Amino acid sequence: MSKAIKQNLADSKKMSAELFCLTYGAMVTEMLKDYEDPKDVTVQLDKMGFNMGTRLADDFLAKNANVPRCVDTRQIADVLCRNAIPCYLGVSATASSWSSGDREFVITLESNPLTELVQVPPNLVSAGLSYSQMIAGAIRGALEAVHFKVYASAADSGANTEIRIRFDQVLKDSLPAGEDD
Amino acid sequence: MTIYNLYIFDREGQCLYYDEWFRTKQSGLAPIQEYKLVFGMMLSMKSFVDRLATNDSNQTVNYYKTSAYKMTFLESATGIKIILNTDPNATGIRDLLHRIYQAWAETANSAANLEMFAATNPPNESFLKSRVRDIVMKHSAYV
Repeated sequence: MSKAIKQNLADSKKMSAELFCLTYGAMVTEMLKDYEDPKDVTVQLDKMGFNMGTRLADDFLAKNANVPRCVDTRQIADVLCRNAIPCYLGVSATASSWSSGDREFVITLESNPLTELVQVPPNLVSAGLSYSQMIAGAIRGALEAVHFKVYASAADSGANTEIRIRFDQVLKDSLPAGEDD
Repeated sequence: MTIYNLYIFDREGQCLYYDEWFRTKQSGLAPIQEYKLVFGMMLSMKSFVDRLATNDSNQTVNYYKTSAYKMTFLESATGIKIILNTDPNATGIRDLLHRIYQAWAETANSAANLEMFAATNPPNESFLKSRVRDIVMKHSAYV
């Protein structure tokens, strides 16, 4: 499934939202069968998103040459909402609920293509399933690729999806071993 | 004008790609040693300019130039470094580097290359080579 999505992104072609939604739903259902605990599914979705994100970062930077280097979280939120999310999900997003000195904020997706035709059973949500965690994982992965360590979690509420992002630290490039001799 | 050679490094200093066009003199080093030298020089240059910076703004090293050649650097925010040697008077090289980066990003992320969610994978060598050569040879500074 991811192959199909990536292919489409690489070729800048659009893919049917319904097909995307259905394949994602089928995958999550399958994972719920494989991992008995919904919490594990959330963790796996996050990991898959993370690996997508690390690759999307390069793709995004290559396509958007004029995006400036971010120096604070407000700028990060701005680029995510204005450039990255519309580019890859085709929906608009807004950042709000700034807290702990601008280190935490919430990105609200106005209509999440993943949950368009989906009703997640409340018992799974209370058991720890975060259905759209892959988006949060992708944001975490993409930001880590550009040296920002963040924590991201997704929560669905009605048609909206809220992604809570907490900024942790700026990562330093480590020198390769044996390069200093 | 001429374009001499090109290096692409990942953020760990691994040379992902090397190609050359009108390079008439070799360094006399084993390729792997030469890559290390180039990458190390770029790292040192970065720490050097940071150390001597006169203010706190985020700066980048763009190129260095001798009477015989110009070495232009492009470092993406993700840490991919693209280094190109050209004639000192060549123009429009930053733009060329960006297009090479684009080709690299697309090749590295192309479906043919994706081993289901594997974290790292070398880009498809020969496909990348043909794309990069195409981009470089069409550039006005080539020949």
